[in-house]
Amino acid sequence: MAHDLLTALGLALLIFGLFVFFTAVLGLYRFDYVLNRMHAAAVGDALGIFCILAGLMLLHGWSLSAAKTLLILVFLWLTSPVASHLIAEMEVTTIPNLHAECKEETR
Amino acid sequence: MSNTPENKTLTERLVSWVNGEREPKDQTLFVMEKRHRQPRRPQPSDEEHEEQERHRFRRFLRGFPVAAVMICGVLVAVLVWAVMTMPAFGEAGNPINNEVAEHYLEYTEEETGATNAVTGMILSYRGFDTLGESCVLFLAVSCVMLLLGRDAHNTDEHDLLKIGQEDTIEKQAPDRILQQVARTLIPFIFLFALYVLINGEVSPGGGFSGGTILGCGLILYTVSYGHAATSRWFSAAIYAAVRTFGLLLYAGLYGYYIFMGANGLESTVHFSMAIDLAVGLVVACTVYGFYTLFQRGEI
Repeated sequence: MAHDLLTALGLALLIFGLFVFFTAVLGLYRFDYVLNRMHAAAVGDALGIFCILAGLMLLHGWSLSAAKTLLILVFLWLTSPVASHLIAEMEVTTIPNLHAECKEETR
Repeated sequence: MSNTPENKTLTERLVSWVNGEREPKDQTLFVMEKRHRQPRRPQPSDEEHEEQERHRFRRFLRGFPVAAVMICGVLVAVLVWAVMTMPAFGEAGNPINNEVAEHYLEYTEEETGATNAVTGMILSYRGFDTLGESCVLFLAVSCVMLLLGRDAHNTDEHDLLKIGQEDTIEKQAPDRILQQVARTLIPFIFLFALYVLINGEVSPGGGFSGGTILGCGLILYTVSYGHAATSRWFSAAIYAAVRTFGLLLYAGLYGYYIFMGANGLESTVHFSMAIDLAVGLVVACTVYGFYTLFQRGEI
């Protein structure tokens, strides 16, 4: 019973992860500007990766493979925001007219 | 005069051609070029020319779909025919299931000392091929070094100024986020690279994948802490020494292996592990060298 429940939960997480990636790819195609597209892609990088890997862990059960999957999740969650940060920094420091593309906030 | 083009020997001309000296232009040709010739046909005016081009383009468009459909159809027919003549997937009587594959699977551990049959195949049975691949990587870095390497002859003030500016920006405003994450991750990346390199003979992995991970770790270090931080302990001399050592180690080990009869080594050394390490050094140096040479033209 508990095993069936875990499998159902894992499948649900996988399907939700696929949906999140679908929205990410859709946003990547529909948006024009770098920062907008990055926002769309980051949804997939954070939530989509989490859903898919957590679903895989639940499907696979308590094992060494699940621990390795957890390590992959930690690695991706550490590196993907840094990459996004670098791309955004590059865009903001090099674009000549940021006003035309988006609203600026000063803090 | 001895330095006119006619009097030069072939070697002198070859040397001057390699050095990029041009021979002076032939004066008679120059005179002929200057003479104005009437065009054979009257030149069309701009509108006529545009109209002609548009006409040609429209004719091209009319033929284009037909040609595309025909090419696609022929391609699909050839591919479908090829698939239909292939033997069914996974049947025992297929030509790939012969005694060669059986021999490899059965005797790899005994003959090469590698538990992983794929590693045994790549590094021992087919090691000459892998040696050639390592040479290709080595030569690729050497060629990029020749083409993009900076020295006193091909660097001007502008390049130096640009590189100096980038260095000052890096020094004055280092990216703290990147540096913190890199400090956390780089030890694990190097550890994982060593694991893949050394463990290649018993698990998936080996020289090429481990070397790539090692090179990527070096690139991450260079990106986050600046070029000066890496070249402090990984200078051009050490770089050249490491990649030459990797290739020579491989060539030496494999030559020894071949000339000793290719079967008498299983108990002496962990042959595959040493060769994996050698390949890994060459690959890591290749990956890192491409990055730095393309970025700033020096190691």
